Amino acid sequence: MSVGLDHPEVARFLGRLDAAAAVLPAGRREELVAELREHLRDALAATGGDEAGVRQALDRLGDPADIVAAETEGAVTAATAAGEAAPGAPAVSGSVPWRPVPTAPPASAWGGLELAAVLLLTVGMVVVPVVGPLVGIVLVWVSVRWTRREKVVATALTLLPAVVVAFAALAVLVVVPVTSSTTFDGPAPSPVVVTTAVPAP
Amino acid sequence: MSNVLVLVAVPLAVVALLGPVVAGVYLALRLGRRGGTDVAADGA
Repeated sequence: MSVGLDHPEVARFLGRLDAAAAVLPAGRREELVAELREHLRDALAATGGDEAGVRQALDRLGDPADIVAAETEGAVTAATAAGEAAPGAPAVSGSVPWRPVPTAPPASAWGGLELAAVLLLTVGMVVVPVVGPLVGIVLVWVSVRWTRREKVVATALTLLPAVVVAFAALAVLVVVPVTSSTTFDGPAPSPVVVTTAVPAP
Repeated sequence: MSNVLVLVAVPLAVVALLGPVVAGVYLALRLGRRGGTDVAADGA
């Protein structure tokens, strides 16, 4: 006996899936439901029609709400039987579980802007002194990946040392002329002999 | 006098050079720890 999608348990599952998937965009909702229906059809065909097999196939899919919740995070897709089986893994008779697998790598914090900013601040300080870090700081402020506090800290770390050095250099320039003006470059003065007149007794 | 200048200027120059490097490392660490989340929208 073959069990189809009209099985009461299966129909209930699909009804709950439809309801839960209402939050998805229309295109993705239809795609998800179609994928699951197809997967269920294959899984049920392999069960042999017994109730335990139906129950097992549905259990493997999990709760419709969880499936949709995972889908809204953009991290799941339908796994097909042949396409995603691990190489060398023994073939599993019966239904193949529908399992969430990542469709895309996790969102990376490193965009081109962030990479350029960090490189200009670090390597740029050596390769293109002054200009590199300044452009890097501008890129940091343009990026949306750092908080305002982090941007302020980075700007302070970049600019404050330069400001301190500038003031120190200014102070040195002020002090040096004063010190040099006290030196005497002329010929050494001849010793002054002070003679004291001693009154005759 | 020149010795004093060297003793003062060299450390300051090193600090000035290291400032942006430290800033870049700091930003990289913060970004790496947090992951790919846009934070500007919430004004954090």
